[in-house]
Amino acid sequence: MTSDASERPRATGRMPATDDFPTGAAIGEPVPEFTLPDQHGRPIALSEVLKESRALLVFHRSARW
Amino acid sequence: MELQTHLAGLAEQGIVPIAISYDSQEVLAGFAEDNGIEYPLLSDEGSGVIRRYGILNTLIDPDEEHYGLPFPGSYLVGRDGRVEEKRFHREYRIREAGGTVLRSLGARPDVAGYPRVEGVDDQLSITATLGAPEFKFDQIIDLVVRLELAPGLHLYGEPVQEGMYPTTVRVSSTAPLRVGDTRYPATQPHVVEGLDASLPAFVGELEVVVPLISDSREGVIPIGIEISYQACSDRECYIPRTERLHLDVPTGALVPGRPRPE
Repeated sequence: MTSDASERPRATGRMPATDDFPTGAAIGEPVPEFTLPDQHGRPIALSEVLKESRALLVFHRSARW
Repeated sequence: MELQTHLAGLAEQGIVPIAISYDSQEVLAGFAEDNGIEYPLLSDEGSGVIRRYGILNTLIDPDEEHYGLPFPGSYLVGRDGRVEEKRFHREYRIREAGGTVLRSLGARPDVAGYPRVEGVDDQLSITATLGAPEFKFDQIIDLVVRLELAPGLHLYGEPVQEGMYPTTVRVSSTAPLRVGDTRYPATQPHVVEGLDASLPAFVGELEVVVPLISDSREGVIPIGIEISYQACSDRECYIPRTERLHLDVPTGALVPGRPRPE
């Protein structure tokens, strides 16, 4: 990704113009550990969840829209 | 995606769903209450985790309102902390139906009561089932077309020899419907007597999956499903046939109880 805004693919709205955009860890690679509060304010640690089960991490845009 | 309705199916697979967005805990608490969501919605205010995962939407400038959004997608993380499956889409608006995700993870979503149409003749029994109860704007939903062959018959898959007909499933609609790449199962080599070759064939039953994205916000979406095939026994090939099935699918509200964004 270049830092010059005029050269960036802006296509329509906020979508990448191509399929070449960052998607993080590849299959087989480890994902970063995290602890974040849930909707009730309880801290959830990924490593704690993984002690019991697999995790489907779904990164959303915003719950507002 | 409506993960809430698939919690049991995910649990059967030993999977806990966790949603992550940059919303505040207060916003997520309201969203969870409005929509009856029981699985964890994590608040990544400031987008620190989104950044560490390397999926910050860099097409949004830091001074813009929605800076901090991720490129939306999902990872299935194994007990060893490594990625088993991942799904990302260029178009951030596209969300996947929970059933679509479950299917991609090897699970069989419960499709009882979902839109479904059947067709039967003496060679083939066809069942087409939508992977969700209804279309939602910009959501990927799989149409699963299941073909069961009469005993002793086989069908051919690509690549076929000249003069033979491959099995194809085509979906069309008079409504704005995007049809993704049709996924056929793997063929099995079938040795034909008298021919010095084995041909890629289907026997028994097969499932063809057609991903669909509706661009409609409301109304009933008519779906035409055209299945072309040529059944063969070990002795002869029959005249190629095309079966046409029709399915009417309703369109659901984007988020229950919430106004639809313009």
